[in-house]
Amino acid sequence: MTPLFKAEQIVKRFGKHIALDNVSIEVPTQRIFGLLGPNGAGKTTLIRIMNRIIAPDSGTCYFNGKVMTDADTDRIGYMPEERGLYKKMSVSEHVLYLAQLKGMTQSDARKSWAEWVEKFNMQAWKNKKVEDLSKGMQQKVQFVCTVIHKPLFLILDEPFSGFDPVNADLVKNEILELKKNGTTIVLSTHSMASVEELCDDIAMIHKGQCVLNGSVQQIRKQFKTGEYEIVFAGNMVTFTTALWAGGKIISQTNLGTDLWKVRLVLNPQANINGLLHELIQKVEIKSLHEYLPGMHEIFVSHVKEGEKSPVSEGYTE
Amino acid sequence: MKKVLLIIKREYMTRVRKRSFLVMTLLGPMLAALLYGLFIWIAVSEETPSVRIGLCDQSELFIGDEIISQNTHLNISYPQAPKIVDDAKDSLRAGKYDAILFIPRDPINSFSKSFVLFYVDRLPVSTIKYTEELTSRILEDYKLKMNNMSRPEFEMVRTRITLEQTKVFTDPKKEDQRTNDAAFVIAFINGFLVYILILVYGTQVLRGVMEEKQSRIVEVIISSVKPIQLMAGKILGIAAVGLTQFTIWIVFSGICFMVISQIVMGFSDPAQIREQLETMGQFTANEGIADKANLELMAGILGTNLWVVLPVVFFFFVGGYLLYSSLFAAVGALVDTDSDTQQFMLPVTLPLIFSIALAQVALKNPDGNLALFLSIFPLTSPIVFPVKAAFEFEVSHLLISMGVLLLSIVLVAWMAGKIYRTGILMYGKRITWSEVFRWLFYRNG
Repeated sequence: MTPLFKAEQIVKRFGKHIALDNVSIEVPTQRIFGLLGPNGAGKTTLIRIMNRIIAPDSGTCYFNGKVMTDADTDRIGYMPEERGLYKKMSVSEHVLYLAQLKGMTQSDARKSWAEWVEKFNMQAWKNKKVEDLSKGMQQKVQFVCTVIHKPLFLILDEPFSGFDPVNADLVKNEILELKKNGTTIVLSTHSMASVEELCDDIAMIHKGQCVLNGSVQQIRKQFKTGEYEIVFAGNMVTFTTALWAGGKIISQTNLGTDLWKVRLVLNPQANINGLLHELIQKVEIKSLHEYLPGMHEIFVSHVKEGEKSPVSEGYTE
Repeated sequence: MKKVLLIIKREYMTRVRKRSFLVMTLLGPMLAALLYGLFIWIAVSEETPSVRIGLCDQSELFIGDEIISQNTHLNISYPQAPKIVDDAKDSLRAGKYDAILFIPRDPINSFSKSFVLFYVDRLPVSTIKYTEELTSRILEDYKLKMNNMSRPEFEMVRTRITLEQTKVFTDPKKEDQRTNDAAFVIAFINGFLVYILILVYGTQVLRGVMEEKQSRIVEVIISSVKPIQLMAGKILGIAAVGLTQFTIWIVFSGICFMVISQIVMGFSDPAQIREQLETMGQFTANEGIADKANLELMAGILGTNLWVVLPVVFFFFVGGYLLYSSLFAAVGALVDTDSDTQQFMLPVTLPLIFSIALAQVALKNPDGNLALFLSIFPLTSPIVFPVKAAFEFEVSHLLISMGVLLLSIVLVAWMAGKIYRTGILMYGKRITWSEVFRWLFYRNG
């Protein structure tokens, strides 16, 4: 399947500063795509290029298989990190205005708005002025404004920042729902927990370059270290003897009387089935799973590595 | 284009529906009319305080004169005061008189400067004028008697010339009958009107852009439309608000002024008003001259070819607004906190203030070289040309000014657009002028 969005060799400079240096990414259709990177890495610049808010100095963007044009912006929903609303407008007017700016007819916009009013239970305050709403309500309105025109491509920059847990869950569920219905979603976030929870694919931008790209599962496998985590009931000494030359213990935790959690790495000649066969005769295995590094670890290690790499030198922000 | 219309509609509707718009639009003309009514009311109902001007008459020509001894006009009386100046001054100090009119021993051969009015508290101008006229009149009568001449004969001989000024055009068919005074009044109104309108609505553009940037709605909007479309929509929407308000003001002011005049006039004694209005303008001695000048001025204003002046004023207002509001939009995009506003606003408001100040030049010498330059230079022409338009102007000159302004609008809007679209996305960062200059060369698509 053609990816919904593709960016090829994007370069963007602001004066002497290179914000994006030859970045290429692909966002597969109907997936949730996480855009990661430390502050100032160039994420917002890339997102603004996706939205055609700014144009790259060189490089090409493709949307739905064709070179992207201004008309495609009507199929995009965008919730920026820095977001706000016109304070003096009524909620309904505001939503309908933004929907029409996305090319909806007034009657279509009204219909779609009515559905969202129902869904988010907004009857009581749909005619109030924005400035009279609580922050949580304003956030709901912002989200509705982003999705009211049923976008094909949804770009959310830090969607959960500033949301209370209830609203964050609400938005999370809507994102999954939209994905089920065919929307492709880009999620820029610092929350690695939501990346692991929601994202199918990720790209990591660091100092203007794409340093990591692929599916979340694949990347975590790519960074696996051959470690396993075993929980067993029995004697620790018995366990160590049974392990013998099969592997090396990295850490051990006593979880209670004769209940242990051990992280170990296999020796090159050993395999996990053989090892399990040995162990199972000596201790009672409660659980065993291959240890995959979390996105958090991968993120931190990449950023730290990037600090040392010479590629990233030559500019400051 | 449809999206620009949507933006224009929003900008227009949110402003027109505001309570402050309604209040300003209706209250403005009402306040002006009320002030006007109040002015008439005061003029009509004010009791002229009685003034005693003691005659310190060295010539003894005036003391017996009927005109002066029986005067009641303006509540001024001219009783006899001590003939010795110092005594007269003492009685003035003692509060017996409001002023002392000193008449020299030989008034006929004296310089007019040897007539002196001593006072403790300054007298109203009308009282001084009246006393001057009265004194001249008595001396005239005396001189007439000496020469065996009657007043009607004298009036027939007396001649006063005012020069009628008429410009001669290179085009012999063109002629302009307006007096300079009328042109002067119109010129002043033109310049001031355009200045105020540009400033008021330009500032609204600035506030609108700042609001969008500060509330952070702008990034959402420009993900749907181009920044330049948003800027254009805002400028045009606010222009529409301005034209609406302007039209309502013109119509409503007319009605208010008529109503107020009716009310004020209706409650007062018409004879009293007439007398009051007379004393405001002219005096017994040369009755009618001031009146005639006023009438000529009014006729001049009314006779001005409004069908020429109005479209010119309108064009330069709209052009000037477009030019300056683009600059204001760019400034609004640079401002992150309200405290920055002044720093960035100054370079835009300065030429505007400069224009209205330099419009004086065009008023004094509308055909001079400086006036010519100011009426073509695009930052000053929106204000200076309407001032010049009240006087005569060549069509070629008008076309050059219009052309330069139109070209400048395109250029300035292009530059302002570049600054605007970069500026609105700069949050929480202090922006310097050198950065702004660099933005002009950014490629932003």
